Amino acid sequence: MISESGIAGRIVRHLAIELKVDEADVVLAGSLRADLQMDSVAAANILFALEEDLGVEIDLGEVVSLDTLADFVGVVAAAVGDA
Amino acid sequence: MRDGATGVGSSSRIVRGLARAVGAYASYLGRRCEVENADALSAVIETSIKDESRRPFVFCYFIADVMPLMVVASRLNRDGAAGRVRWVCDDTLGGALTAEAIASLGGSAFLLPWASRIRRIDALRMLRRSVGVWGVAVDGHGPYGHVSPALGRFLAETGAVVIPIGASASPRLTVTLRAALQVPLPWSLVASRIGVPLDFSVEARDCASVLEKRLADLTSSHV
Repeated sequence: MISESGIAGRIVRHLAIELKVDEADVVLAGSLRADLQMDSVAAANILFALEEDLGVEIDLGEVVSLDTLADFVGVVAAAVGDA
Repeated sequence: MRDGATGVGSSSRIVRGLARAVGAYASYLGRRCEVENADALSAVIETSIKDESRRPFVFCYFIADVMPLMVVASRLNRDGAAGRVRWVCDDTLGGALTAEAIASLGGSAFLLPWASRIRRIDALRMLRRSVGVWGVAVDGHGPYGHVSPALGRFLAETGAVVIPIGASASPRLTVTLRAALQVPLPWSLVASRIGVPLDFSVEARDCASVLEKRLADLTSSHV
């Protein structure tokens, strides 16, 4: 099973592609919305790309926020763990 | 009005009342105005509905054209074409108003939650999996007259055939709220325009800028 750091790496890659930013600019606790102008459609694109990349379906039912890299890692790690 | 499957967006009585008035005005204009190209738009919608490729067809337009498009839609409604398109609206005040007005014209709206990012993403997922025919104002939250790169990629990922549409009214009033909206008058000529469809499954270019250019071309060809 892929590790959390491996998941984080993939998320950063998708974030960088979607938001056209340098991977180094994506920090774990920073607000993707405020710092990198990630809107809801961009967040959805990233999530859907991760689902295809990892072959999982991400359930957002229990998720409160999806605004930081840490949020993304949490929901994706849970989906991978459930798969 | 049909909500998105998330079941959100119940409108207040005031919004419903305002929307009914907007829908009634559009319907009145549909009877009074000279409407150009309604049959062509109807034919394109019918072709999209009958398509068997299991791909979504998405009609995209700028928010400035929404009122003239409603006037055109009030004509389409007579043969049912507009009623088979799901028009995507945010569940904001403006979106709910538009959705109610569409419903009062016999159309169908899909409401996207706005306040909750999670519910919004879930609704976008549902939309992404749909293979029907839908309509989207590409600049609903601004910047107006532009298509966001994220929306372009979203549309591309659905594998949709994207059909740019627009409509203009002449003469018209221009009401500037957050966006500058065209409001037709009972003696206006209302003309719909259909752009060249974009097939992003075979066109791997920058989807947003290509769509924006096609929509801008439609606007510049307005009467």
